Amino acid sequence: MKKQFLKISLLMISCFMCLGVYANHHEKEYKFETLAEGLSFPWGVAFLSNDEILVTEKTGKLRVIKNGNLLEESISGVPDSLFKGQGGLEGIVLHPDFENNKYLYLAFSETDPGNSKLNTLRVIRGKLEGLSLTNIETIFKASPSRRTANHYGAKMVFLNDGTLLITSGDGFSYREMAQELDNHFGKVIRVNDDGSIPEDNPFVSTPGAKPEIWSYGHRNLQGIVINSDGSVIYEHEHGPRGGDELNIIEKGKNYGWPAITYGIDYSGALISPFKEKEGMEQPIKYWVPSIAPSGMTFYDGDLFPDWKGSLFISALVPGDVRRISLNGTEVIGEEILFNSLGRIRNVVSAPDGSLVLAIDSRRGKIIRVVPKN
Amino acid sequence: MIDRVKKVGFLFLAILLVSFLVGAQTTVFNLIWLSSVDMPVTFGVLISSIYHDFVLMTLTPAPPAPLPLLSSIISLGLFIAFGFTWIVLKWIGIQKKYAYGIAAAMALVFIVYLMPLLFFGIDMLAGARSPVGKISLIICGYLGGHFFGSRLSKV
Repeated sequence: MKKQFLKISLLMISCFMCLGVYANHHEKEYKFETLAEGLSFPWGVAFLSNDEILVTEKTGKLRVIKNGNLLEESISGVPDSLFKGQGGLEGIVLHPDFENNKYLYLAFSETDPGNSKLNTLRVIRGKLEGLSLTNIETIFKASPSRRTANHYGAKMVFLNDGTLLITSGDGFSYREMAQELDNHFGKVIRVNDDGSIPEDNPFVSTPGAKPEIWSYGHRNLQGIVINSDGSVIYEHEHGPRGGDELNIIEKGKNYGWPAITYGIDYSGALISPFKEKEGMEQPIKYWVPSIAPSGMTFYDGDLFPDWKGSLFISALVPGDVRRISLNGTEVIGEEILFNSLGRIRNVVSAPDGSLVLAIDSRRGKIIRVVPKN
Repeated sequence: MIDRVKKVGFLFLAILLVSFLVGAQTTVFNLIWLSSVDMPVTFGVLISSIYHDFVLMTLTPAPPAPLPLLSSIISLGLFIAFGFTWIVLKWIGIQKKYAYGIAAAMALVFIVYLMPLLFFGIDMLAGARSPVGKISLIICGYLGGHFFGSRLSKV
């Protein structure tokens, strides 16, 4: 009896030691390098090169970090944005042929020029010449305008065919309109790089439908990326109380909000008692309670070979990053990383394979994650 | 002493009644819309949804707030409105059921119109997003106040 007890005790101690060694090894995989401090609510991040980074500040400026220094001067010529509630200067993406054409795309909220009580999501492009943005053209403007300053979406990604996907949120109070095709609330939008409408968009010939719509039935979509060969589009969106979703976006599909959802309203009320319905897509993963997913990258770098092929999702509420392991398009695991930095607004892959995090604060930071050794 | 306990009990019941009606209004408005997009809304779904919303909106704390959101806001609104009415009734002769009914309706007017000003245009009560929704919520308030006033008259 005594011997058996001793054996079991030894076995348990060995197990705990193994776990300890594993955890220790895991902690030592990476380290943080602060690239810039004192940014005002950093939101979007784009790389001109590995050491030259553009960062949008929600308060309205487009800043440059060059060789680890935040330039005092911000980019001039950026249109005024509406910094209110969840609105401001937000998404940023470079044209796939930026090397040659210097086109930069920005997504932001702005006051409706015709009615100062209303505002909307606007996407522009301009040519980046030194520290100036010139030749500003409107690429997309969400319609109709809204009274609320919430749920803009405002993320963008270029597909391999050169078209641009833009996420347009449901405006919080307009959730039912996400199920209608005559407006831009709760939609993924697809336009050509000059803002014209691709002929193969799913609703171009549907009477009454906005032809820019690529998919619908979304809430507040703050992450959209493609995988390394561009064959899969991943999108995540905030749920209300619970029900944050990770989806695979396909042409013309309905993602169900608010007719089906895994979340409930902030007041505690049911938004819908239904979680699934034929003709409405299911997420490949959802979170209850919410993690407030705020940004996403598909990791294809070489600095962290174990992480290759994973999605990284920044989460505002717990303040961490979720590494989502995939087998094809199936989620097979979730790992919580970087949970000591505060509210993480965005996570992006740098050209050298490091990860770059935007820390959301009035005195926000940009942090690079690199291997420890 | 017993009368005072009764009055407090009626106040508590009025808060509960208004909270229930406001919750049920949100439920019904949601279900009407869901039905309009061909979701299978049955009588069973209606009853279970009203029960769910009553429990979660009125009785359960809404994180990060430590208290139930709806009943706390309604309690605050009714306390102020009824307190004001109690003072006014010392000088003005009007039946209590109407006076408290109007007071509670006014409390709901403030709740449905002021909340969006505090939350960047957001109506935290989903049922308050349309003019019809706002009016029906104000009627819910009136009914709770009317109940309270009519009970007080009998104490």
